[in-house]
Amino acid sequence: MTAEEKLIRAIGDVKDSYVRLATAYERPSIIKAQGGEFREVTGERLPEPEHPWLRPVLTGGALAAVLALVVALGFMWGLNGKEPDITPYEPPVSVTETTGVTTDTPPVTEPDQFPQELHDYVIRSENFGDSISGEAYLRIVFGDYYDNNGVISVVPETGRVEVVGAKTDKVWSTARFVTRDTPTGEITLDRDIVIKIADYDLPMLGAIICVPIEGEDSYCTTIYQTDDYREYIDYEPNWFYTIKSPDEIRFEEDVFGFVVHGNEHIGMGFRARKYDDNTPYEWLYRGEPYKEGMHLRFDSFISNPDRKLLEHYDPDVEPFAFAPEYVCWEIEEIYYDRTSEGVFAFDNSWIRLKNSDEASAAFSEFRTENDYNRFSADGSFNIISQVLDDGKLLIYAGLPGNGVFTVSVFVYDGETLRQFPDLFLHLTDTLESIECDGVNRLKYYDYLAGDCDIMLDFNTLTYRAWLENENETALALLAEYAGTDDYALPLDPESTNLIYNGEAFVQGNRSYYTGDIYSVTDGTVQTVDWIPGQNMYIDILDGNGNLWTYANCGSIANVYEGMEVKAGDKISSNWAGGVQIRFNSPVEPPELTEPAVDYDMTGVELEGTPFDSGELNELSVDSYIERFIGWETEWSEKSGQENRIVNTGLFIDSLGVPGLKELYYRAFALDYILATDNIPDLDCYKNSGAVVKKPHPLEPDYIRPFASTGISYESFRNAYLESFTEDMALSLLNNFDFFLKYGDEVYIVEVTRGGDLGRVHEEYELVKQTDDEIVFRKTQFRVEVGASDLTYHPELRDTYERTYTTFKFVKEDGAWKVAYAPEYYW
Amino acid sequence: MDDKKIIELYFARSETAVTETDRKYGDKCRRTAYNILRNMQDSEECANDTYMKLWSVIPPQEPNPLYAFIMRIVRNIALDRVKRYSAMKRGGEVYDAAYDELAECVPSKENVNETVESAELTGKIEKFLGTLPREKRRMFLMRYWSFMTVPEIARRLGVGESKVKVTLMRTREKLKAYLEKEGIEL
Repeated sequence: MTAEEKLIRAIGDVKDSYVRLATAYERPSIIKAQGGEFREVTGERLPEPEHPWLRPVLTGGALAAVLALVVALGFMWGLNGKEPDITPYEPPVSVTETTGVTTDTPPVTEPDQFPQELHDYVIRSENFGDSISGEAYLRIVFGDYYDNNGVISVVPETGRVEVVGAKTDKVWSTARFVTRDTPTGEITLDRDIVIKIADYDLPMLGAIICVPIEGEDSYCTTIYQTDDYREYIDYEPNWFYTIKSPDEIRFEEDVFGFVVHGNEHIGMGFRARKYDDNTPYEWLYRGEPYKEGMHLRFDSFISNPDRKLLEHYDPDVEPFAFAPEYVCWEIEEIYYDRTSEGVFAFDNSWIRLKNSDEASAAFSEFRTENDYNRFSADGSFNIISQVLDDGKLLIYAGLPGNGVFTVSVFVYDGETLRQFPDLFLHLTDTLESIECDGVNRLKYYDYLAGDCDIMLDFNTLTYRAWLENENETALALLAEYAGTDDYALPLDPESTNLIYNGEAFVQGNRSYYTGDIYSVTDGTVQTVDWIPGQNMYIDILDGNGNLWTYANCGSIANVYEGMEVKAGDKISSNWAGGVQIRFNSPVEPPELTEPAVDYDMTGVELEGTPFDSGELNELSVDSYIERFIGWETEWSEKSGQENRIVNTGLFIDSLGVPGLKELYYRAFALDYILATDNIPDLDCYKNSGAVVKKPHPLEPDYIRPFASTGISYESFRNAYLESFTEDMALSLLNNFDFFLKYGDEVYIVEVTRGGDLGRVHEEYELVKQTDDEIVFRKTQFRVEVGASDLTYHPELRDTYERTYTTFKFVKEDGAWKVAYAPEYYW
Repeated sequence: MDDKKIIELYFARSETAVTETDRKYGDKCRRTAYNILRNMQDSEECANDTYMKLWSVIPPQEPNPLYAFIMRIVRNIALDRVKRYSAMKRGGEVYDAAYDELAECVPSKENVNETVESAELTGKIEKFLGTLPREKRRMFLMRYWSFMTVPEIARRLGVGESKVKVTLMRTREKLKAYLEKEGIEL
C-alpha cells in the first residue's frame, strides 16, 4: 500500500462525527412557494407577470418558448382514485372523449404560422369545484432557455385561450382544447383535472397551472412529451412532490417551470447539467399522491433542450431522504376534551389534518406515555402532544421518511390552534426525543445541526434557536428554519469579520417570494457579498453593535457596503430571502494594532543568517505593477478574455480623478503580494536563505516556515499605509497567514492564490462620487470554473453567474486611499 | 425505522434488514460510492456489496452508530473498486486527483522516525483535524473522506472555489508539517 493509500484509508477511519460531517451531502434545492407566487432564482428581475400568481417561470431572462405543442384539455375523472381518462389525440380534426361528447374542432394552424393573436377557443370554467365558484384561470406555460414566449392562458372574462408571444419559428400545429361536457369547452373543474397532451409529433415540456379567481384551491399539472412518449402529470390536493438528483446530473437552481397547489409548491422543472460533458438538460419532476403506508413515488424526466427524452428514471426508486420536507402539515380541526383541572383529556379528542385524506386524517387512537400523547391512525405519521405548565397544549406533527422526521409545531390553548409557520424540526429519532421544559423551550437533536435549543414565543409564533456552540451546519439550519434552503451565510469569521460567540438566533420572518426585503434596524451595511451560483447576503451593523445578516437575498441591485439604512428601508430590488439572522452578541470590531511591532515571537526558530538592517532593501512595486499589467494585457490578447485589471483602471480613469488609477494599481499589487508568492518577483527582493519557523497565532500547533525577503518591514508597512486607509492597511497587515516581521525584515510564506478562472466579462457602476469619496461597483459575469470558453457572448448574458464587488476610495489628509476592496475580486 | 430496530432485524436474520437499511441509508451509500467511482452502476453495486457485508458481520457485531459504520464500509468497498479501475485506467479521476493531492501530505523521509499503524495514523489525523477550524475541517473531510470535487464542496459550503482550493492546499501543508512534527513515516 502506498503512503497516499495509507492516508486515504486512515482518513476513512476517523471518528463517527467526522464521518457524518464528511457525508453531509448536498441536498437538492428545495423551493417552497407561498401564496401561489414563484421564486425567481437567479439573474435580473424578470418582467412583471400579468397576474401576480403567474410569475415568469424561467430564470435569468431565459424563459420559455413553445417548441410546438398541442394540448387537449380533458378533464376530471372521478374522485379518489379513479384513473384518469386519457384518450390519445387522433389528428387531425376532432376528438371524441370517452364520454362520447364531441367537441368543436378549433382552427388548425399550419406549421410556421403560429398565430400571435388570441385564439377563440372557448374554455370557461365557471364552476371550480364543489366548494369554489367562479371562473378559473388556466394557464399553460412552456419553456425553453432563450425567451419569454410561449404562454397560453385562458382569459377568464372571455373564456378565450390566450396565446402570448409564442414563437413563430416553431411548428404549432393543432392547438386544441378538449372538454368533456360541452362542445363550447365549458369545463367544470371539480376535484380533479386532467391535462391531456394531444399533440403527436412535437415535444413539449412545461407546467400547467390552474388557479381559481379568489379561490382557495388550485390544480396543477406538469406535462412532458416527446415524439415517442407522452406523459401527463397531475396534482391533486394530496399529491406529494419529491425530487431526487440522479448522480449523473448536476443540479442547477434554474427553475423553468412551477406547479403550485394552494400555498404549496408541489412541482417544478429544473435545469440540470451533465457532469461529464456539461450538456444542459431540463428536468421535470412530478409528484405522486400520498398513499397508505407512507409510500412516496418518485419520477423524473430528463430532456435536453431540444426536448428529446433522454432518460426516464425508475419511478419506483426510493424517495429522497428529505422528501417529507415538502409535506406541510396543517391541522384543520382539533377537538380536545378538557378537564376541570386544566389538563386535557384525550378520550374524545381528535385532530384532522388538512392535507391528508379522510381516512388518515382523523385520529381516533392514542396513547399517553411519559407526558406525551401520541395520536395514530394508519401508522404512517405521528402526532404527539405535551401539556405545558400553563395548560396549553404543544403539538408536534411529523412524517417519518427514510428515517427522518420533519416536524411541525402547533400550540393549542383550548380555543385556538395555531402553528409556528416557519418552524420545522428535523429528527432522526422519535418525536418523543423533543424535550420541552414545560414552558416554552425545546431541546432536541437535529440530524444536521446536532443539539438544538429553541425557545418559542407563543404570542408572535416566532422562535429563537440557540446553538450550543458555533456550528456552521447549525447556522445553515437556522437559515433553513427561517425559510431558506441556501447556506449562503457568513459562517467564517476569518473571511467575513463576522464575530459571534455561538449564540445566534433567527428572526422568524420568512418573507421570501415577496420580492423585497426590508431592513429591520437602523444601521450601516457592512458586507454585500455574492456567492457565485448561490445568493447574496448582506450584513448590517446596527447602532447597538449587533450584526444582522440577511441571507439568501438573491440578486440585490441597490445595496452597497457603507450604505446607511434605516429600519423599514427597502434594501432589495429583486426577489429576496428576507431571512434575518441576528447574531446576538455585540460585534466587536477587530482590534487593529501594529502587528509586527508587537508581534509575539515566542516560539520562533530561526534557521540561517538574517540580513542586517543595513542590508535591507526598500519595498518597491513599481516595476512589478508594470510587469503585471503587461502580463494581464498579454494574456488578454492571447486568450481573448477581457482584462480585469486594465478594465478597472480604465473605468477609474473615466472618473476624472488624477492619480486614482495608479493608486488602484498600487493597492492591487500590494494586496496581491500579501497572499501570493509574488514577492520574489519584485526587484527589491533578495533572500539570505534564512527561514523563520513560527507557530500561527490562531493555530499554535501548526509551525509554518517564513522565508527571508531582504525587504525592510518599515518600507513594507509604509507602502500599505500610503495606499490604503489605516484601517484597511492594518487589517491587511494583521493577516498573519502570509508574512511576519523578524528583526527589521519581512519574511513571507509562499502560497499561491487560486486563479480567477471563471470570469468572462465585467461591468462597472458608479455608486457615489464626491470630492472625498468614490464608491463603485463591479459586476463580473462568470461561467463555471473549468469551462473551455471564457469569452463573453452578449447573447448569453442572462445565463452567466454574476459576482458583485464594491470598491471604495476616500480622501484622507488630501490624499486618496483605498478604503475597501474585496479580497479575491480585484 | 431506527437503527436499533434495523440491527435487531439483522440479528433475527430477517431479510427485511437489508430492505430497511437500503431504505434508510441507500441514498447515502450510493452517493458515497459515486463520489469515488463516478459511475451509477458501480455505485449501486457498491451499495449492494455493503449490504452483503453488513449481513455477514451483524451479528456478531452490533455497530453503534450504524450510519458511520455503513459509510465506512461503502467507502472502503468503493476504494477497493476504484483501485482496480485505476490499474485498468478506467475511471476514478476524482479519486486520482485526491490521491495526488494527498501525496503532498506525505512526510519527508528525513523527518520521520517511526512507521505507524493505521489506527495510530487515524488517531493522529483526528487530532490534527481537531485543531482545524470547522469549515476547514469540513472541507478536508469532504475532499478526502468523501472525494467530493472542489466545485461540489464550494457549492455545498457556499464559498468560492478559489477559497476551497487555497484552504485545502494550506490544510495539506499543515498536515504534512504536523505528521513530520510527529515523526511519522507512512
